[in-house]
Amino acid sequence: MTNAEKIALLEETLDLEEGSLNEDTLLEDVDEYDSMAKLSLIVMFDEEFGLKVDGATVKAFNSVADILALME
Amino acid sequence: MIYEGIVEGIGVNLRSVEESDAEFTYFLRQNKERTKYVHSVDGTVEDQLNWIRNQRQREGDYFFIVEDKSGKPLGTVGYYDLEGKNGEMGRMVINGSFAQNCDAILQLRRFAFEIIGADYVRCTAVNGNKPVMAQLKRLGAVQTGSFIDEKDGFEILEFRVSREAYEAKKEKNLKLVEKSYEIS
Repeated sequence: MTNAEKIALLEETLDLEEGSLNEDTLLEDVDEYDSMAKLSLIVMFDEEFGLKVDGATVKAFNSVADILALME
Repeated sequence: MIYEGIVEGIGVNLRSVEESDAEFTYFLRQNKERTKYVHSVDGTVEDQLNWIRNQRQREGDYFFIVEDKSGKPLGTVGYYDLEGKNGEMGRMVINGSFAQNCDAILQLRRFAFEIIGADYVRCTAVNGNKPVMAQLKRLGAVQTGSFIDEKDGFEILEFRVSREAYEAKKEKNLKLVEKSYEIS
């Protein structure tokens, strides 16, 4: 999966419009990044990548790049 | 005011606060990190006990303890200042997992819209409280005003969430919480 595809998946997961994220986006600048969005990430990692990501890991994400690094 | 039933969530329940919860709610509100944007509780556990006694008598004011399914208290949520069936959601201080915290908030919404039958609910957020602002945006909240809180000096933003906005997101949010319990 390319970075562009990962970002598209991330935008879909977080209910964001296409093109609203890039690798440098800080999550604190994403207005919609709430607890439900974090929950969506946990489910996305499980369903799409077979990864069990816990709450502490999600809390430690600061940027889109941090999330992309785990999307392998 | 006391809601006699239990609002049953997927992994948490909401039950009306009791006098025996005074110590728990008092110390919950002393956590500076968790309550950065919530009024601090002055006084003592005894003062908190008196506040709970008054709250249980007050019309149009529901205050819940969030518990896990074993009965362990995780936090509080409230629905209060009702005008008819429409009130304000708040007093949210919950120390559970992501899934439990989201579950508790979804159950409070369900209580307001489906059990009480609200047409809309009011919410407030301190300007700058990004997690709450994000949650309100996701819920389709519309800002209706703002004011400066005299006690803390915060700018408080006022929002309204319609029943239609709640209904539009309900099923998706519930499925998400359900799935997150399964994998955690």
